[in-house]
Amino acid sequence: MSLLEGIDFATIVRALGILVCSVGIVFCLWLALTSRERLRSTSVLRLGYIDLPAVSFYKLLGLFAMFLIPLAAVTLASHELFVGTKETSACVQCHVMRPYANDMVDAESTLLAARHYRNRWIHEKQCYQCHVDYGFGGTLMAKMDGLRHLLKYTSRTYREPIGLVRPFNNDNCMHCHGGTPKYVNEGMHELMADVIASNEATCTSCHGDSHPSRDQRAPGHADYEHLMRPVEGLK
Amino acid sequence: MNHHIAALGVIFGLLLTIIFILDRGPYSAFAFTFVAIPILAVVVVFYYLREVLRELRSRDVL
Repeated sequence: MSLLEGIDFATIVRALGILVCSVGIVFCLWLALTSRERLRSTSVLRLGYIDLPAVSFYKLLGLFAMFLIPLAAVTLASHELFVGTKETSACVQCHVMRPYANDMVDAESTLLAARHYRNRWIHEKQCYQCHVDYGFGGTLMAKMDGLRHLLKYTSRTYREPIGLVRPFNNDNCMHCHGGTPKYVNEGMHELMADVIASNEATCTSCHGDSHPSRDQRAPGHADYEHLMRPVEGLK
Repeated sequence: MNHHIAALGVIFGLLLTIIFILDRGPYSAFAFTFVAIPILAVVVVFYYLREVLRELRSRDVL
């Protein structure tokens, strides 16, 4: 057990994925280098204590190489695709996300995201926690958005500064803040309950921006180069 | 599709999968999602399962 202490589940899944893929490549190479006649041979292969007809052996090899291993590899790698992409470190892999991350880790920034990050109000997966709607529908939508982001980013069919495709959902703030004494005791929240619930007013309307403005993130702005520097200090 | 091509397709798909697991960047994620998965799916569904069904039919199982 001590050997596995300190190793998280994601690392184990990644190691398993690489192992499965490597075994699959060896098996497939074996199959690719075997002639069709040999695949159907009735000769007997001696595997240790087991004598197996060659045709049975190659059918088993085919079952693993072309069915079980590809399924296992895709399943293990999909864990990284679905779970690993929730990490903030995954978001900042795309350079257009640097302004958000750089401001978030900036100790001098007074913007909402930076304050949440600095004060550890959100411990992990900070981008995901605020930008993914809660519930099954939110997770599904996030995955669809992720595919769209992949297509847009790799094909370079986006334009800076990037922006939200739909209005920010106040429920994402309310998931943590709603019902807390600090929130309930603020009379303005009660007065604006309807417009907050309907997203007619956003939390940032009163509490300030979460991230650097569109202008700051636009190429050519004085802050652009500074915001686009490589991200350092991400916890 | 013969078994040589199918095996080479799986090798290519698995190589892209390894690259994605190691790199975890947007380009490797794109290659895994839009290249490796379709290739592996084609081999599994259109080659392997078709061969299995063909054999089952030849033995009058199906």
